[in-house]
Amino acid sequence: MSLSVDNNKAGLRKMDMKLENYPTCAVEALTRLETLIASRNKQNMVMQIISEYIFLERSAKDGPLKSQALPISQLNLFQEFQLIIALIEYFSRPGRDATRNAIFLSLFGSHLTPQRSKLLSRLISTAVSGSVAPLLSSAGTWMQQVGCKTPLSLEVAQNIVSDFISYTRKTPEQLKHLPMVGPHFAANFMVAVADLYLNEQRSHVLTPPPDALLDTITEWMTENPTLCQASQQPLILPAGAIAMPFATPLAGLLRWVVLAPLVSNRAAYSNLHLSLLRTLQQLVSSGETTALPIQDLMQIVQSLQNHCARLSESKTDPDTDAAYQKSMERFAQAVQIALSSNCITNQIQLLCVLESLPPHKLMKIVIAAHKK
Amino acid sequence: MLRQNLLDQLKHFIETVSNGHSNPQLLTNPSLIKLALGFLEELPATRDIVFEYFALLAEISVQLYVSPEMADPKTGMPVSQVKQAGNRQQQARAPDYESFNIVKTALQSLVWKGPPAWSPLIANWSLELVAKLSDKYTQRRMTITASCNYWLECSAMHGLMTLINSCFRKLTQPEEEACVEIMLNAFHRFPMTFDWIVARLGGCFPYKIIMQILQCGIKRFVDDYRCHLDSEAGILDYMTSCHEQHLRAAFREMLREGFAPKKSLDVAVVPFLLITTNYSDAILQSLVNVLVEIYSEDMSEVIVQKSPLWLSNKMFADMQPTLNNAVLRLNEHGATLLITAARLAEKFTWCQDFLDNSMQELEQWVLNQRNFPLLADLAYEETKYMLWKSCLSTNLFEQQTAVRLLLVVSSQHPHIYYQTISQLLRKSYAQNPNGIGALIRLLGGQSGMVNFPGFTPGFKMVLEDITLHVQVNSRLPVPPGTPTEAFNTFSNLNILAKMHKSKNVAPYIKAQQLNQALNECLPKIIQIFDCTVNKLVLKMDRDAAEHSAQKFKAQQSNNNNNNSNDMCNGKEYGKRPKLEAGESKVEDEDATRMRLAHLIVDLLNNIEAGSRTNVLRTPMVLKLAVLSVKYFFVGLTERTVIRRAAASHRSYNLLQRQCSARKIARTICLRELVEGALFYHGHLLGQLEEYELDELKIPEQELLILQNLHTSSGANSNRSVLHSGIIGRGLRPVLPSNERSCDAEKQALYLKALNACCADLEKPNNVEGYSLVSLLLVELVSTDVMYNGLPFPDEEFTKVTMERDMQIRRAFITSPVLWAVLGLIAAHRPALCYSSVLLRALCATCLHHWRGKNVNKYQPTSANDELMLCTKKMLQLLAMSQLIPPPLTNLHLIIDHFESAEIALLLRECIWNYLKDHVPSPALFHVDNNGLHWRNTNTPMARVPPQYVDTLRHLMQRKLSTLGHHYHQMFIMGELMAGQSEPDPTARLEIVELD
Repeated sequence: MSLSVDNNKAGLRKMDMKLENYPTCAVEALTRLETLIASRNKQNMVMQIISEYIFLERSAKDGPLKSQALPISQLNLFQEFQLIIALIEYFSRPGRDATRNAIFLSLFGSHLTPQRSKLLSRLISTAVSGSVAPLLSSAGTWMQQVGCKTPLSLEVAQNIVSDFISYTRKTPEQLKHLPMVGPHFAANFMVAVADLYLNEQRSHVLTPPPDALLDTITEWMTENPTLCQASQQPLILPAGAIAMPFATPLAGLLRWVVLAPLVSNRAAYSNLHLSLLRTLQQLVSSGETTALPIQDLMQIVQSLQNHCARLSESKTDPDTDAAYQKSMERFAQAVQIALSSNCITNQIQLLCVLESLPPHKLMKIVIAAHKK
Repeated sequence: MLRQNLLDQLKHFIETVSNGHSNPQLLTNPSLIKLALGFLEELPATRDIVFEYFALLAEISVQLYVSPEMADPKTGMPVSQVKQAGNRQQQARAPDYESFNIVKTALQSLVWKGPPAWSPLIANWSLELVAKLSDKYTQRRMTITASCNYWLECSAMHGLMTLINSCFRKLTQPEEEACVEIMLNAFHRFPMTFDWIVARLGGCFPYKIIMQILQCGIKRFVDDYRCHLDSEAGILDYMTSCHEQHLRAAFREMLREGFAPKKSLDVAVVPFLLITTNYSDAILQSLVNVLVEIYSEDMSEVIVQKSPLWLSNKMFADMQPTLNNAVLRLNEHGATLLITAARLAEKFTWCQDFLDNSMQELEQWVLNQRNFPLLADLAYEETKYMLWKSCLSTNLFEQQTAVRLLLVVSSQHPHIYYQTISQLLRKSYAQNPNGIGALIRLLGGQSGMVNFPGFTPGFKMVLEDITLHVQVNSRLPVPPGTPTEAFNTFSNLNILAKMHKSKNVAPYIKAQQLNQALNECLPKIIQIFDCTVNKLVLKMDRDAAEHSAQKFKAQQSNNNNNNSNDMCNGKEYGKRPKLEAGESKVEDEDATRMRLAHLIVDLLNNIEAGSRTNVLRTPMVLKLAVLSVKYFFVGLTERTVIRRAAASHRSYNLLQRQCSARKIARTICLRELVEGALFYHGHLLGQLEEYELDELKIPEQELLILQNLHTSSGANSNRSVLHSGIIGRGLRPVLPSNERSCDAEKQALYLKALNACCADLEKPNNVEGYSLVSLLLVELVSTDVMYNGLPFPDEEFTKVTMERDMQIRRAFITSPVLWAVLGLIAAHRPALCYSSVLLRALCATCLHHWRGKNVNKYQPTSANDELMLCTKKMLQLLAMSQLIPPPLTNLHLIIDHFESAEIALLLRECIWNYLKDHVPSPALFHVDNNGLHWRNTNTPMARVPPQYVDTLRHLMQRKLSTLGHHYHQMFIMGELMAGQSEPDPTARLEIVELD
């Protein structure tokens, strides 16, 4: 095994893959990988080549990487961007989706050094700016495989938000057109982003999303009603790989919509609510049952309960709290539609939990209608 | 295709930039910069690399700035305005040098107008960059100010600082904290080269930075007390210029902790602050300001209590010496600090040490003519007032410290010295001797100082002040009994003068100088004296006028038995109490003024004003003479005998000194004295008032003098004086001669005054002065200019001068003091000769009056009869002055045994004729070996020819039964004596007839 690796390496060196003329050797390495990646027993070598020739990584002690110590990349910022350009160019070349996805997954696995994750964020951000569809599709696949709510995905999402929302005066066209260019990626991005904001589990306070982000997502949802189902498309993976379960942004966005009245009164939430309800309705035809996982709905209930607890602390009746009433109304509407379109798996459990909330007229009706 | 284009641009950018390290011109290409700026919007992922590129641009600019290539050939300093000032080569590099400006402008607009997320990002980036560049390109260590100036000239650095500044303004609270954190971290990394940045930017959140820097410093200090705190102190120093308030607040906070230590770090607060003050004057100043602000008695207790904590902090030992000259570096509150220490010095010895060291150092510096900040503090108005107050303190340490400080500042600011002298003279009360002690020390000056200001201007200043005060007579209400400033001043001056007169005191003041200074101020003193005495004289005259008017009214009512007068009196009594309040105040004022006058005279005596050693201008001499006499008369109005005597003694001294020094002074003094006694202040010496005409309420048309004018042509035209009454009204009111006996005590004082003027200390027998008096009397008493010569004419001729003679006689009646004066003169032979005309007039009038009595009927003469008294006194005078020879000298003793006709005869035969033949002139006298004038009448040659004596002899022989005893003494004894003695031809003097 090791012998063959060395052979291959020797072959690479022979082929003028000198580390000195950097971007060229990375491009060369990428083309070499295409062939290597097909054979499943050469994974180690693939990893080594990637580390050595693409990311120019050395172990901390400047020896061959064996120990647990994280390898350190020798790339400087300019080389990083040379690599990014090389990658984009590579992914833009016509080729098999499966190979591309495989290479992407090899380059960026589920455990990355901070440098690599940083580079990944920059790469995806650049791809969004440049509307590089193939790369975005691979990125979408990567996200689903890694898990949309894992720290890595969240970091990428956060980075995109700050790049395109926080640091720009107006939302760039590229971001607006993202659902068209990379629907799969867009859907997964929404899942991650929805998890970042208005999430008490994450930050203990309800942080509303930046206005520009909310507007963008509302626009996406209104103009592409099927966007939420994009992640349901089957993944194109190399042979033998197992596709991870998909996730829809519906539950996260529903949380936004329901909890938003507690912290904000922007009209955009109503629009988002409407498009959400529409999407839920359309789900009836597809007969999908896992669109709204019970855990996510429980999270909403938990936040509402916390809010009620705060209300009782300040001796306010939930009935008189307009924000709470509005939240419950939206929640009730959504629950009604979801139940009727059969999107919720564990209906009885949900209804019991909902009953424990301070009573609300519409919610009562909904519960009463479905308890029978 | 737009997207593809964007990626191409990125590729191009990356390639250019990564190859551009060798060629800066490529990097500074404006289109490349524009491209990079575009990326910020279009390709947000490239943010980091774009900023890296900007950092490169900044570095290029800085590189150019520090490179010798861009230096100004003349000054060697970097050229800041390359486009205008640089040479061609430099101008060629201008685009490179200025390239960062484009970036700066773009970023700034991003900060101002863009989303808030940019501000912290740009701020952090700029901070890091500035720190890196400044660390990399600082070639040598500079002070903070120098660094600021140096780096801010560089356009890139300046741009970065501007950026940071604008970012800081946009930051939220937590972001600010983060920035401060970053800044301090950078400061820790590059403490030598980052300090100017902290100092410069500290202004954005001064309090936070100051507090952090102090905390940093104290931590380092606790770790190693020998550490250098240059950077920390430098930053604080720099920031103090604009943010002193914050520094003070920080100090206040730290001191609060330091005085009530809770944490282990708190114990080091005070030592640390003290150490820090060594680095910078501004910090020291702030700390002192805070200390002065929060200082209280309690606090000093706390300090004493807590000081062992600091002392045990081994580092405290090293600091003692540095603390000592700390006070010299203060711009403000330095004096307050020293005075506070002085107040504590009684309790704590270390305060004394501190004071001693500081003051020694201070005086050393002054001696070396070095300038230091404390001088400025001392020269402040407020400080001056405070020091003055301390000068009067009862705490000796405080007082002496204040005096020393004043002396120190005086060497540079003479006006303060003068003001201080003036102030102390005015404010030191007799009951608080500290002030005068301070003054004496102050007058001693700073030993060792050349060109130390003299104190004369100080005296002049205070005298000028008092002149104003006395002249304007302040209207401010003063509680009665408080000494006025004038009084204080003179009493203090007096004390000084007296002290140095008694040589054992005050080695500080050179006696010569003080005397000289005061004599230089003499004109001013005289001016004040003038004002005071004149007011007193006015008051005295007013009183006298009131008094005589009252008296006259009383007498008139007695004469006329007028009832209305009682009513008048009643009214007056009713009015009296009302006036009293005001009057008592006036009286009080007058008493004060009188005391002041006494003091001034004392001072004049103490400094020997008017003595020969001091040069005075003639007007001053005259003025002083006149005033001295006025003072004498005023002094006579004092209430008690002792006071009168004291006042007179003072004036004797004064008069005598002047008169023996200068002839002109004597002339004036005597004239003033005589005139005063006869005309202006006669009432003091028992003069009888001549009523003014209108007091008699005579209608104008009835005035006799006017009536007579109508008939002024006849032989009687000049005889109006003889009329003794008013037509239609009867006789003039009788002069109340009996009531007003001449006041012997005052007269004695007056004579002594005359004597003081006349007496010549060097030549005791010089009678010049008395002769002068004699001549003056003639001038003032005799109304005629004719027949004022010495010789006695034929008795017949007296008819011609009778009117004048009677005038003279009347003068003697109204001014009894004339007798005394003549007596004085008579004792100093031959001065009385010059008053021959007065004697003649007396003699002639008496003769005529006695003769007139003889005509009518026999009148027994009473003992107190005016005529008899006058005759007796005249005879006494003649005898005393040796103008008549021995047997006649006893005539006044027996004259009242004769009848009027006999008296007339005696006067004519013995006196008049003798004097007619022996003209009373100085030539009658000869000067003996002692310089005494003497007339030896005992020798046979000088024996009185019998024709002058025989009349008397016969008359006496007729009354031997009563006059036998006298006869024996006058004639027989004389002859017996003459028989024994040998005749001496030389004793005979020629008699010279004078015209």
